[in-house]
Amino acid sequence: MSDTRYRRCPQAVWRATRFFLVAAVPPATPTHVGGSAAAVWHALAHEGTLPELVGRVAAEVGAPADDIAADVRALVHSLLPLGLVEVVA
Amino acid sequence: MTAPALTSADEWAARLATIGLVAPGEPTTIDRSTAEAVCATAAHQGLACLLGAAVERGTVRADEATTEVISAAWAQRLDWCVRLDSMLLAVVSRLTAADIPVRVLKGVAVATLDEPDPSWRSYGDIDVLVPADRLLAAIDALAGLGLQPAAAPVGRHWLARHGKGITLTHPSGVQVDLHRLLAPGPFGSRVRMACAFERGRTFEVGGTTLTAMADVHRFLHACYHAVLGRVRGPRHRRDVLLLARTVRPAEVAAELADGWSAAVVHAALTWAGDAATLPAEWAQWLAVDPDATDSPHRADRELLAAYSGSFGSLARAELRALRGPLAKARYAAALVWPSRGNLAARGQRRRDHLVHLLRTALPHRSAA
Repeated sequence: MSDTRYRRCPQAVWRATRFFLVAAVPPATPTHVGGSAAAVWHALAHEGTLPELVGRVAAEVGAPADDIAADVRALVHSLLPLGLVEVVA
Repeated sequence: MTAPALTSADEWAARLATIGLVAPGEPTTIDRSTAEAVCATAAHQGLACLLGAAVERGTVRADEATTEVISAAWAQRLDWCVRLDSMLLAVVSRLTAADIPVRVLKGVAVATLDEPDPSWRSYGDIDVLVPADRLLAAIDALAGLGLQPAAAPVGRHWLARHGKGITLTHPSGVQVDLHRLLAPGPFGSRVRMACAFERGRTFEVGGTTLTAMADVHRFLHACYHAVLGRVRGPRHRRDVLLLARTVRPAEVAAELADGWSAAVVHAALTWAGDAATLPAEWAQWLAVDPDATDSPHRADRELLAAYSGSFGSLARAELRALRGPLAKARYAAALVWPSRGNLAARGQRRRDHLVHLLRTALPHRSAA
């Protein structure tokens, strides 16, 4: 599973701030995610495995990777069924 | 240190209009009730986004509860922008399929190309420009998306020949302003709009490359909107100041041959800026009195007065500017005898419309 590579959907329309992420794949309605979702979204700009994504987010927010790994994984998996994140074949 | 507190939404509007454009100074603190008042201002002013950005940057301080209020308002505004961007992609796709060139105006174009970050800018509708002779074809092409005119024009032929554009509405509540000109009346109709399609700046939304007008045309449009539009506020001021940072006076001078007016630019910069907020080159440009040497400038300044009056005063100004009796007659005919749909949209009967016209055309008699 750790070899699976993820990226954000290139067709997503979005805005990201330090406080929240608002994103949609047209014509779906926007999804709101609070907290550090924007950092995960920025990390997803380039495809990566979950450990790679965790590393990028840890570098951006300045937190230990072990502390945020579960949250990053949960967020990526919650955005997958919405089509906002896709698995790279 | 903290800067003196700003107490009213108006003071905050003035401060937020220049955030990111001038040195931030000491942080200012905002309380919850003031933040609620700022966030409750009209969406098109964009203050909720600018306040959110200021808190994010640390130039405005707020306690946790106030930050939540600001963040919620910011997210709400950007939610609408994401919905608008989704519709914009569909609009551009339809127009492109119909072989109609398109330029994205204001909104996401300024957010992406001119703001420090797209999240700093909110907007309430979609604005696109099509070639002046393709407006009717564009309306027909967009009908397939469920976009219908908000109000019937005085006449389709008049709209295609003289109108600034038309507002289309979608059942979702999204509004699309389809432009063929960038301003109403003589200042709009004298600009050779083909110039907007000869150049452009591309940007990306949702994996699609869109085209905005060139930098100098976005600046000129911001000036025209601030001076000739019916409404102006902090967002319009910010647009002028943002674009003045990337466009130089010499670039604007080169555009005057296409019918753009230096008097409108002068009026916009005088209203929007000062020595602290304008680049030095523009401040120097403003310091020279153009009336002393430039008679077209003086005539344009007089024409600006027509824009502070009713639609009637603007229509009379346009009528004076048109050349030839046939052109004048064609312009006036549809205004004197508008379509039934247009009258219905205005809630008027034809007889009332004609009586109103007679009264405004004969002001002395009606006053007596």
